[in-house]
Amino acid sequence: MIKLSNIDRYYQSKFQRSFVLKAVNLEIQQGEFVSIMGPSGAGKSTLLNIIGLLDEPSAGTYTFLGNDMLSLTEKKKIEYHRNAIGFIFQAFHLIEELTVYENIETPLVYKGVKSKERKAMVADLLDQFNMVAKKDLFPSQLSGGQQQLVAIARAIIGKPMLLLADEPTGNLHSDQGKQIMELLSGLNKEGMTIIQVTHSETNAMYGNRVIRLVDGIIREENVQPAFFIQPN
Amino acid sequence: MNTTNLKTTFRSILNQKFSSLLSILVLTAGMASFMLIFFYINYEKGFDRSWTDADRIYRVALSKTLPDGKVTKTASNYVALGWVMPDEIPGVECSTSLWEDKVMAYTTENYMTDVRFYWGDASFFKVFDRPFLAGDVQNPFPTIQSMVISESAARQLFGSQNALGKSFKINEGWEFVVSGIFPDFPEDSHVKVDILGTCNQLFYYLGHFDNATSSLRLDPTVKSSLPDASQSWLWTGSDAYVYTKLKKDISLADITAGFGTIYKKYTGHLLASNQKSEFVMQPISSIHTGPNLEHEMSANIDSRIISALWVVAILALLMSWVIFINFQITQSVERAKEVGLKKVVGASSSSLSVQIVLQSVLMNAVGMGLAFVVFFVLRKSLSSYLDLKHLIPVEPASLMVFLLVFLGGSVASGLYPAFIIVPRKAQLLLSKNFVQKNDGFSLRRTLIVFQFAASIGLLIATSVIVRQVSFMKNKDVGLSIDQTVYSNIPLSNLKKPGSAEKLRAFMEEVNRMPGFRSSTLTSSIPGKAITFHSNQIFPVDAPEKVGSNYGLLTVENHFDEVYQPRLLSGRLFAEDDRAGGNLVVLNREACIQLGLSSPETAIGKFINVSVHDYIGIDKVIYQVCGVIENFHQESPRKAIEPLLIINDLRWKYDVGFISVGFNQQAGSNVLAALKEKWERFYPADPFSFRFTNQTYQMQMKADEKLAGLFSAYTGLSVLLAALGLLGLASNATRKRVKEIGIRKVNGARISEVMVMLNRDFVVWIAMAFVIATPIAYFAMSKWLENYAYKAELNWWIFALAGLLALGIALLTVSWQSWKAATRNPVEALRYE
Repeated sequence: MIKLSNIDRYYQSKFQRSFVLKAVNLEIQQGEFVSIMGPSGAGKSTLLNIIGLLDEPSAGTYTFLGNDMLSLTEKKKIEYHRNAIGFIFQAFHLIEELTVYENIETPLVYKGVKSKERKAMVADLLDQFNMVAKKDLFPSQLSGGQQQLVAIARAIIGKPMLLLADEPTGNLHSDQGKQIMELLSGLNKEGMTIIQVTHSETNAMYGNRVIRLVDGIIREENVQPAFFIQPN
Repeated sequence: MNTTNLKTTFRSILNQKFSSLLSILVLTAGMASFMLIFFYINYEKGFDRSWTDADRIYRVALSKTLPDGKVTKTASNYVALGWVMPDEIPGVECSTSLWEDKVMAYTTENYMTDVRFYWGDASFFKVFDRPFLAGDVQNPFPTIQSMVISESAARQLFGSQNALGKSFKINEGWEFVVSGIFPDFPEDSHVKVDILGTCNQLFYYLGHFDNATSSLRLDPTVKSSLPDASQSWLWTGSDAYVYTKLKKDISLADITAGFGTIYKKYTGHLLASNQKSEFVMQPISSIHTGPNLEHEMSANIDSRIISALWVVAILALLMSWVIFINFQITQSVERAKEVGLKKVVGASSSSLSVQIVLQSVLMNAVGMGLAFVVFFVLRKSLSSYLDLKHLIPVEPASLMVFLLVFLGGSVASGLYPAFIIVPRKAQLLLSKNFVQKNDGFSLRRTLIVFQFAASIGLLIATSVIVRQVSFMKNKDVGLSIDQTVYSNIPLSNLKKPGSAEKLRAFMEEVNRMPGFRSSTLTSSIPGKAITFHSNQIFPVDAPEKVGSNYGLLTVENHFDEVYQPRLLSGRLFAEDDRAGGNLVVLNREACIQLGLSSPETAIGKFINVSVHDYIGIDKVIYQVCGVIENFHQESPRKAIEPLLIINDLRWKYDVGFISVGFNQQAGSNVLAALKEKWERFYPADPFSFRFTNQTYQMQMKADEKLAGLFSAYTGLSVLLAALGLLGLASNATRKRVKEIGIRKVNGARISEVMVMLNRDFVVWIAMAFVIATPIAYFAMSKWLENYAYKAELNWWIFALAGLLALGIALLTVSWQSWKAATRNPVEALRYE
């Protein structure tokens, strides 16, 4: 589904280029659950942003479902954000002024889904996430785990093929983290392709493939069947 | 205060170069424009305040109730009133009458036209204290030939020679000797005199000057030529300006009581014809900013205009401070962390406040300095724009007051930001959300709404004024004045034997020149007031219709060829009609006032006419031979008066107008061609032909100036409001950067983000519009009441002002919104 070849990302300063990513080659199939790991500053988030069309590589090619992603117009990019790609962030990034319900609804509004349909879809999801009672609360009234649940709900309500998660459990304590990871793994089983950036080996185990990034270079890749290591 | 404070203040000003510079410029603009208007208002309000005993000097205006109940208010009064007041009213110290005359003064070398000439008396200098430069102010008119002249008149007539004792002539050759020279009347005096004679002199010359030989018969036995003050003709026309000085501690009620006896004793003949006179005491310093009465000596400025100017001046100043505070808040909130840290290390609240206030004072001081420079530079342009001879005066005392006001304002505008920040707990100041939540946003929003309301109000006011001016300029006059020129008749030829024939010959020569259509003589030309008036005019078969005030225009039979009035019925004067004959042409308004049902039925009707206004017509029956459409004799500000046009060659003060019509063929050298002819016929008279339409348009000049002034201030105010909005918009969008990022990641288009950001501002402008519209509507309806013919207040003026404000606001805001909306969301969402 995703094919990155020879991706460079660097910042040009006067005398030298400082590379964030260097010659990254990566292929991800539909249905995979990939974890990107590595120390701080290794370029994990940059890689994720490039895949998510929030950033552009300085060199290399990127195809998504066979389409070239680097020559997209701003309009086309927005189409991908609306229909194909969902995001979750470490800091949740919910809109403070909107209620849980409204936050989840946002992408549908931009997709132009009709109000009735939106209601049904959001209600469905709230039910699935056990958050019906909380739908009229504001983000600040929720715990971190709950906020991240809302963020995930918002990310998947548009039924994207690809979910990008930037340290989704980084701000949560372990119980909450576990809950979120199980949810992601469930989504993956239903067929959603997921790429997450994480520091935690435990969390990485939920996926079926780990990519280790050091100083912008992929050092190690290992594929492991998720069912094999999945903790209880 | 230690030097660190000062240093950090300077650094913080320099760090934010753009916004510091902008705030200083805004302050400069606000302060300078305030000072300009303030001193201008000060100048206008200061009129006639510098006279000795100004509080005891009054002008006596006349409010006359006509038989039909209408009231006319004139600045001028009966000439004999000034003569009798000291005798009839005990509280009057002295009084004087100034009887206006139309005069050309000349010596063998020089001449002077448009002289401000009055027949007065020696008491004039008792009322108005004006120490002479030469001559004796106690006895200004030692002989029957003495006249006093102003310094500049002396210079114009006699050059650098000493004028005292020199002689000059006026009009038909009356010769006078300069017996005194007074300094020019100050510019801030509504009374201005170039040459002053006495009424006694006037009557003596009328009786003793031989026009045929141009010589004066001197008769030392004559003590006084003044007619007896009780003669009724001296109490009929109101042509003289009457000024009086009261004794100390006299109440106005005593004077008014004294007027009672004067009404009884002298105006009996008026009362008999059902006309009531009422004398109105106007304190001299109140005249210039009071209402414009009929026949003002010089144009007044309406006090409503002064109030309006006050409003724009104060708005400009307040708005600039509002914007300044806006910028200051943004800056100091961003320095919250610095303040918080200083608190942690033990700075006291007061020293922190001092630092913030100091920054404000410093910037205000720079702004003020620049404002003074700008003010002194622009003072000259404003003075010449307003047609003042001298610069607008500036008193050092007022400048000191400004310094204090500006200083006060600068401290106040620094205190508010200090108040927002300094009392907070250090921990709060250090938290990263502080900037987001404590920037006085709601107050600033209110201020911006206020600013936009003011701007929309000014936009509406300006467009109404501009529209009214252009309406007046473009309104059909009703006469064709475009290809005509006019001049006073040659004054040196007045009353000379054969002068009428010579004039006729001149006009016929002019008519024969290629490109010249026709020429005529009239008592007034479009753009100048009708000179004769009477309310003793009625149809012979309906004497009960008496009462309205009619204008009387004397013309000769080529009037229609030059000015081409629109004939409604009958005919105008023909070659065979004798000058001084008994035919009359009415305008439509006169037809209505006389109760004649239509222009057609008016033809052949007989009208009884009496006029005692220099021209003497006593109960003469005229027959209507034609009716013409109304035309605007004066500016459309004034209602069209009922007008009688008679075929006559008598003019007020014997001074009529020659009008000449020309066509394309005459080309651009109309004046040159006329000049050549004129100089051949009248070598002694200065050539003074002017284009009639230019003189007509001059009437709208004051309104045009006002429109210009308002436009400038509206522009400034809109600019200031936009700047204020810019500051607020950048703040508002900065607060929402994260939200914008999230929305974009979730698929929001740039356009959708911009709509979201701009929506709030649209709501504010709508609020400002709702506030401004009713106020502007009310104020402008009031203003338009001054005009008899007005451009209506259309709804689209309001809509346009609102849309314009909205457009400007959106442009301003969109710049910020666009920057925010096009930013890469990654930057906004990076985890910190």
